Amino acid sequence: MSARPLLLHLDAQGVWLRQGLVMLVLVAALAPSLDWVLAAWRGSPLDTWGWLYLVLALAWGALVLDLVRARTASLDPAGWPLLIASLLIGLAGLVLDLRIAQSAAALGVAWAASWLLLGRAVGLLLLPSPVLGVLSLPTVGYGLERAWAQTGAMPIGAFALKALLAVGALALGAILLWLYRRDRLAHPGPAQVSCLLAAVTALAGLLVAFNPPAFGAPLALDEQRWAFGPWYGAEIPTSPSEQRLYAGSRRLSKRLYATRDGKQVSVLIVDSDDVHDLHAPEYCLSGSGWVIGDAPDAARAAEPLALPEAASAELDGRRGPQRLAGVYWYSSPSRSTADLAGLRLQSRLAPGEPFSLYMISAVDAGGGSPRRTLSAFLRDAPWVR
Amino acid sequence: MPQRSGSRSAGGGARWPALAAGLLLVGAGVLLQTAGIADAALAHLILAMTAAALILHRLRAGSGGPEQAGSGGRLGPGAAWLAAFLAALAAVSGFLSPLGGALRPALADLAVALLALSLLTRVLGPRPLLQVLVPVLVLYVLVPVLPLLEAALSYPLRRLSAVLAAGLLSLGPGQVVLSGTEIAWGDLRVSVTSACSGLTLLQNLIWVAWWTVLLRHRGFAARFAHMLLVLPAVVAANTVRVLALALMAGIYGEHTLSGPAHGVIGWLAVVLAALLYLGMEHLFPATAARGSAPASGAGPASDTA
Repeated sequence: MSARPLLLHLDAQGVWLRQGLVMLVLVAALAPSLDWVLAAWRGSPLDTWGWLYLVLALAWGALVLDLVRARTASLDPAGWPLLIASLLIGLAGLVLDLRIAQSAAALGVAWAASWLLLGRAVGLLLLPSPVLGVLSLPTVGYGLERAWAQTGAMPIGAFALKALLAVGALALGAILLWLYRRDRLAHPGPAQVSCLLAAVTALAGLLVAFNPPAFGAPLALDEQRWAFGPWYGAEIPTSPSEQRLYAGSRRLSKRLYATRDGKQVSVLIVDSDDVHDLHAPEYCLSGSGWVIGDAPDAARAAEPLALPEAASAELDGRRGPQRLAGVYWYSSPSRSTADLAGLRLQSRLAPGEPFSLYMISAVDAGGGSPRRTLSAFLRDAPWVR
Repeated sequence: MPQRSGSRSAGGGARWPALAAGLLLVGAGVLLQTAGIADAALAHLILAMTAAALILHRLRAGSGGPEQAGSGGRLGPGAAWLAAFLAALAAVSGFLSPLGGALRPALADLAVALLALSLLTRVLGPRPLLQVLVPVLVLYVLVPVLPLLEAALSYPLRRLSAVLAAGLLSLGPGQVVLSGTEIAWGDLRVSVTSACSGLTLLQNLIWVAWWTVLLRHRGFAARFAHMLLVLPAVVAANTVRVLALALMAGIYGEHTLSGPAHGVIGWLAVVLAALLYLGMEHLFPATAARGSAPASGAGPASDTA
């Protein structure tokens, strides 16, 4: 079936109907994710300004569509690989229950529609729009910050990273526009687009291959004991914002353990039947102004945060004069994992299994070592395996 | 001579992208194995170096023709589709790796190799891909997993050598009883351990065999078929070694098993395996013209081993 009659029908009213169709595709594809996106913009400090990037994405799109009123005689074949790749990302998002993948796929589908309907010049010029659109999605900020921290470079917060990427995307758009004006814009065919998409996907696969989701034995803290070794525990109230964040969870428990000489460690336990309610602590910490990085190797060697046979992740943060050291893991009755990918994978492998988030952290603002305090606590803690 | 000079210049210029690609391939391959390379057996290092030398040689030789000069940007959609296919395979390997259990490192290495080959195909076209496919897979995938393969092969090789040696010993005087990999011959007990399994023979013979098939054959099929003779050569030589050790212990006493004669017999077995392999060449007459350059890029497209 040829798309030419449909295109001819649309073109009877000028290019506007094609552009309107692209917008319609964007709205339709993004609609199922809007509830999640809007809730995060309203409720999470880290995603408060996310709407700004979506506005920028739409503004860039409007600028390009206004400047380049191109039409193609038939659907541009180079758009098909983009559409297929976006649909595959969406399918992976549905299978693994990753809302961010579903939302990113929606943006990709709209971009592919613009490429198919308006040609490769418009498709290329619109490249900054999906990039800016992805920056508007919840959890992207802390994901970027976490990835940046792993490079070992100077710590940069999530807001600054997103802003830098947005500036980069707009600069790329300006260069593409400049090339277009001089008729020097590349004209990639379907083979070239497929090759590029496959290479990008392969790089993503390599990232997974070298940073696989880790699983360990299940591990919990014995909550019956309020005192062990030099540590004395006390329940502390949760704040309204914490209760909002964990609204869907069965239990939210915060406990403060302290020694007589003033060392303090905080223990957070969240029980949930729905893995969506559990998120990585970096998300909250970034939103509270902490800049998350990696502990120096010397500190790791001198003060190991050793947990018995569980897969866990370490936290090392700074906020002004404050220093934070933490360790967290998600545990089900059958296994533990340290990252959200592992959590989602396990929830798909063993559906219905409840998960608990354990986070143990120490903060110091007086020049001491919170890592040392945490290390001592972990050595004494009463574990249940 | 201006024409000749110009031609040399063009050919030399065309070699640079291929050589750069080769150096990148080899560099990435070595980088990938940095952690294990210090502990690797010398035979494995020779295997890796052979693969690296072949990658560089074939890319350099294959890019010399003026008709191929600067063809990277004009390869058309065929090379792009092939590159896309290889990159997609790399993606599948990468995403499968967390589910691969013990195969995870091998799948990760395979993903890197396929992505590198995809880039090579996109830049230089499909022909260099065929020429460096085998050495790249050896450098990136086979060498890192050799210890795993050897661990898996250890018991079967030990058992095979023990069975054959026990069978041969039973032809002579005295009762021979085989239990697992232990041979009881009268009062003598000889255990075929991992060290006696023939793995060292295999390690050494693999690179000897690779060079042999490179020099004597053209085409993947002939080289691969000839390469398979490594296994009977190793098994035969190792059986002879076990037999010799058992006879030595039976005649001169068990204490000789821990003496220098044990090592000497081991080295003789290596020589015997190599001789057996080279002697079996009569089964595979050389298919490469005598005196031709080994693994030359000017060979047919199937010249991939």
